[in-house]
Amino acid sequence: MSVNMRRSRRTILLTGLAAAASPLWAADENAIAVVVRQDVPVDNLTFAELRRLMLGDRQYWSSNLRVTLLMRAPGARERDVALKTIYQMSEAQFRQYWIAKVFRAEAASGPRVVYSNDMAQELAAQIPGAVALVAAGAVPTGLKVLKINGMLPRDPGYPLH
Amino acid sequence: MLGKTISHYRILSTLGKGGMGIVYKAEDTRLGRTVAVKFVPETLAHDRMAVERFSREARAASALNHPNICTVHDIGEFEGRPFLVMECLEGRTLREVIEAAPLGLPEVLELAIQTVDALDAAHAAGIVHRDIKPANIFVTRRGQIKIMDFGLAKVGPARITGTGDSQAPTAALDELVTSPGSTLGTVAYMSPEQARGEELDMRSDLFSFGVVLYEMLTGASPFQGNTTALTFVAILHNPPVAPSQVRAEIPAELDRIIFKCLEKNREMRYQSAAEIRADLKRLRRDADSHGISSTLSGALSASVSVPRVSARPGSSTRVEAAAVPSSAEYTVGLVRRHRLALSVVAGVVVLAAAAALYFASRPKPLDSLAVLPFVNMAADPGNEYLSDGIAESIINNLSQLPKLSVRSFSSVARYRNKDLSPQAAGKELKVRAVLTGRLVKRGDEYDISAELVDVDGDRQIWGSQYTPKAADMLAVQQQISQEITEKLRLQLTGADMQRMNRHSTEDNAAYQLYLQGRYQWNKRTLDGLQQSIDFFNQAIAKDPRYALAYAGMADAYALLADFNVLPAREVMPKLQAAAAKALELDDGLAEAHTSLAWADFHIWDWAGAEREFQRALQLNASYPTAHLWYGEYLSALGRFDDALPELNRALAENAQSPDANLALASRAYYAGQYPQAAEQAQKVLGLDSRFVAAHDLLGRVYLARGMKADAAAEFRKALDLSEGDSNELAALGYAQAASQQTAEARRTLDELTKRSQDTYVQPASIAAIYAGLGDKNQAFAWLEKAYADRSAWLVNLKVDPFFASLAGDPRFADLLRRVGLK
Repeated sequence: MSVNMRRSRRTILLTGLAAAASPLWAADENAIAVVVRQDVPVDNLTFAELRRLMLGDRQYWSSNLRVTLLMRAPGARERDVALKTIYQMSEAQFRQYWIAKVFRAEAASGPRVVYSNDMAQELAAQIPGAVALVAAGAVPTGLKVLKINGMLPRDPGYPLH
Repeated sequence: MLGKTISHYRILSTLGKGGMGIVYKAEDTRLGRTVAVKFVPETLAHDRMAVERFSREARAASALNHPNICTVHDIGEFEGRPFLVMECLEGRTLREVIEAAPLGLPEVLELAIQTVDALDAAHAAGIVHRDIKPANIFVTRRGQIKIMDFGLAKVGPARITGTGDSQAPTAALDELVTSPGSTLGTVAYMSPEQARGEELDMRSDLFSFGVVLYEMLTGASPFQGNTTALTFVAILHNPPVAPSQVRAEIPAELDRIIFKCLEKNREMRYQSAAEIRADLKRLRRDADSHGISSTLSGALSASVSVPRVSARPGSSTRVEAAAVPSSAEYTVGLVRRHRLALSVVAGVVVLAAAAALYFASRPKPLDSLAVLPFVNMAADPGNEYLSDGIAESIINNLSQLPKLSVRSFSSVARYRNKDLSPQAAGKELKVRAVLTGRLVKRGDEYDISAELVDVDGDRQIWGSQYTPKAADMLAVQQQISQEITEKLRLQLTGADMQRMNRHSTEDNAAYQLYLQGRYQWNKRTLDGLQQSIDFFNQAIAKDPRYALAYAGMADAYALLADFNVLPAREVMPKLQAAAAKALELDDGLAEAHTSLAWADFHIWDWAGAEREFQRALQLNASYPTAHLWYGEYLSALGRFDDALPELNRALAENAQSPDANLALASRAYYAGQYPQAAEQAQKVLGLDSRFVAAHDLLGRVYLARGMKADAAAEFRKALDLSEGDSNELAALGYAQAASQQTAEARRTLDELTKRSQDTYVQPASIAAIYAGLGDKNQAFAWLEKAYADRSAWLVNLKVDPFFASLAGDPRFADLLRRVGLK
């Protein structure tokens, strides 16, 4: 059994006890939440949709709301999880991927780099259509946490750990 | 006027007054430097001729950029009075120098060569000075000539007549000898055609120069008369007395040079300043190599025998006894007075010793320079692009000068924030001079200081401070470059100076974006590369005619291909377009020719690549990237003997460069010289233990030598350090295949195949693994994909040991032929 799986099991117990106080209070602190502003017209993404979004293949939430990707700088756990689970790329591949994407004019730019969870949350709140990956235990009020495959970070089977 | 600020010039003091202007010392508050501001006198402010003269001077001087021509920085108008802003000079006019003390022959030759070099630059720009005389030639405290006052200059094909529109008095404020309403210029220095009021060309200046040279040597004018009319007669009809008849020690060759300058018929005269310069330099060289006994004795003994001119030459020249001799002159005089008692040999020994001393102490041009990254004093990372960028801009400017070897930015970048004296850095970099600088931002201004240090002499050559706003940064780097050329005493032609300054933009915002692009590009990382492209694009958007920004973009695309981010088939057209645009704007840009050569190399246009490399090196023989890439090109062709000098030259320009050192290792590897390759690769890792490509190459060398475990270890290091680069994974896969670790090799193949769905994986690298596994059919299938992609790896197909196992197959020969390697 992996460390993550053990942590997920403990989270289930905690969630049952405290869910009424805050839906995220009991979130698995190792889980990574996908957060957007409240006005983003999406609540749930399949994992494949999330991957398309993060790869820059889906660039609009709606006809007039563009997606802006926020990505932690190298070394942050949020980035490691994103590379391993969503992108399924090495750091070098990730950089190569975005350079090629911009070179081919398939994207205007790569993800905007943020250097802390606070910065990620602040920009996610400020920029319409921004999407950030932040530690589930540190999601502030005011931002919407997207469900992935119908699951929130506290839920068992949530894919972003 | 004192204390007033005019435009951004604060008037500090009065430097001089004369009939044609008042000159003030002032502070340029924008750039924080001292300048001279010259005003038309109030009485002449509405005089059309006086204003025209100012305008003419500004037009002519500003068209020239030469260390021996006084620089005009600006022109303006204040309260209806035009003014010129010029560099502020410290020293004396040549008139004052000639009058103060006798000039030795070496001094005369030095000053004359500088003067004629300046004339060459002016003439090359189509400008005839028309008033060359000692009062218009300034000698700075460091012995540098500055030709001044282009107020009578002829720009372009303007025609002069005896009563034309430019009959203002001559330039020297206190030396007016020309009768108003007659002919331009100062009578004693006029050419015959000028005296006759004929159309003038540059040969007129050469005649005037001859008069000046004659006077420097003899202290007297060759054409003397008690009245203007008699002086005219002498110029038009009388042959001058040979200088050697005035000073017996003057060599016959110098007589010949002067007579040729003073030919009445301009068709018989020297036809260009360059010819005179060549003759003077030859004379100086011969004097050097022959111990200069004759020339030096002439110079010293002159002080006791030559009549001297104390008043300005012209209509009322006065001759008087020479000044009191110096101690050296006295010694020589003593020798001469008692020559019967002394042997000739002893005299020669004394003179030769004096000559040796003179030449040992004579300043020689400092011909090699390193510009270290400026220190970002505020340690604000946001300004780091500027502290690096100013240094790199200066390097780019000065690298255009053929007489100066300037270390590339990549060779000096490692001195960033390094606590090392300029002397120590200079010795490591094997240069004679080092420029250091500091930068700190204060509000909306920057404090920038720069210092030029003589490495061997351990002394400051020059130092200056500037306080520009961000919008003036471009002007500062250009100013520093220009001042350095002056302080290094480089004898630059007008063409040199034009080349030095022509790649720039007038748009400061574009310049700043370009600097940021270069700063990111210099990181040689994928992130930096991506950002550099963005900045170069922005710079081009600001100034679509900014050649260097296109060249920067081409360089960024070259790295994209080199890093295998994309297939060469996709990158090369963009690289070619960017380089072509840069060359359309400026065909003299060595960087763009080099990028174009790189593109040709990778699309297998081998002849085109060689042509472009050679053109780049013709334009800038010390451009290290051109030597480096040309060496790699020659290695790929198997021309290893030709590659070696190119790579060594790249290394000479930048001995500490990991790239240049690695290229040498690669050449040895491709040439099958594995022990040398291993040794060189180890040396590279000594310079930078985290250099991925060096670990990769060492792994290849180990593999070629049968050291499979060591090879795999190096490839793993490369893979880790590159954070999972596909090329390094492929190299590890090849090592696994070659080590008969078939299962591992196949897993690596699977991983690479999976990666290729999202990111580019060089097909040639997969082909190599199949070749290692002995699966030739798959190897050739993937090589065909590589061919379709114009995979960068294929340029080394002929020499790469990875494909040695395929060499006997006719499919390999066919591929080599199609790539142009057979």
